[in-house]
Amino acid sequence: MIIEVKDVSKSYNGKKVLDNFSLNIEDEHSYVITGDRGCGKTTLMRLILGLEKPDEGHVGLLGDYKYPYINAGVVFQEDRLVDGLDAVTNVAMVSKKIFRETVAEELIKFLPKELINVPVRKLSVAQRKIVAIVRACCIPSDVLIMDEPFTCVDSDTKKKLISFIREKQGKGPLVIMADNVEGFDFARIIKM
Amino acid sequence: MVDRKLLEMAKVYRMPTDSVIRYIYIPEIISFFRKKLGKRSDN
Repeated sequence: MIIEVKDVSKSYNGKKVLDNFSLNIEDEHSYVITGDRGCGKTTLMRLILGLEKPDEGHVGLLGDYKYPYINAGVVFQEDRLVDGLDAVTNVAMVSKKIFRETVAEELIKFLPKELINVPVRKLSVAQRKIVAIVRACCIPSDVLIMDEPFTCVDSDTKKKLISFIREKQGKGPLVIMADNVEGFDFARIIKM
Repeated sequence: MVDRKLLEMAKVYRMPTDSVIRYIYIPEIISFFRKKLGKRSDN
């Protein structure tokens, strides 16, 4: 599958965030989209996910067969977890194709076992971010898209998480939006 | 009352409707009423 972003422009309140931006996202490739804050990284992610429509240009899904929509494993800038639910439930609830036991196995690679069954409101910001990353990687998806996934995560955990994400990436593309490109030498860096 | 960002997350993950009700709407509604009741008992 190829995600084609072609000549896309987007403005908010008269301020142009994206101006004639183009990018092809191809299978088996990894991309890190970087740039100063406010340069349009999150907007680009929202356009790819179909959460916003471009003012001009188009975002299309090309491939051997017609894709009606993207099956994406997504990490938003905020963790977007349900505070009152535990980590296992927060991950398992998004798809009926994944089992709680599998999710627990993945989570304990990064979190103490006693923390995976307590409400996520009791976890630190970094631990919550890890839950969000595991959620994105556990579901069957065509593409992984992550917006600043490693904020608040220490460098050792970041390295472990990158290995985990790349293992789960499979043949699909991986797109990471990040201010800081350190540790992403495996990916194509795109500066906005 | 229900967090728009959680609903957006559910949309992106194509969460089944029954799961959205069970895991997003119901916990948010319970939390809303708990907060209301907490405020009343404080007064």
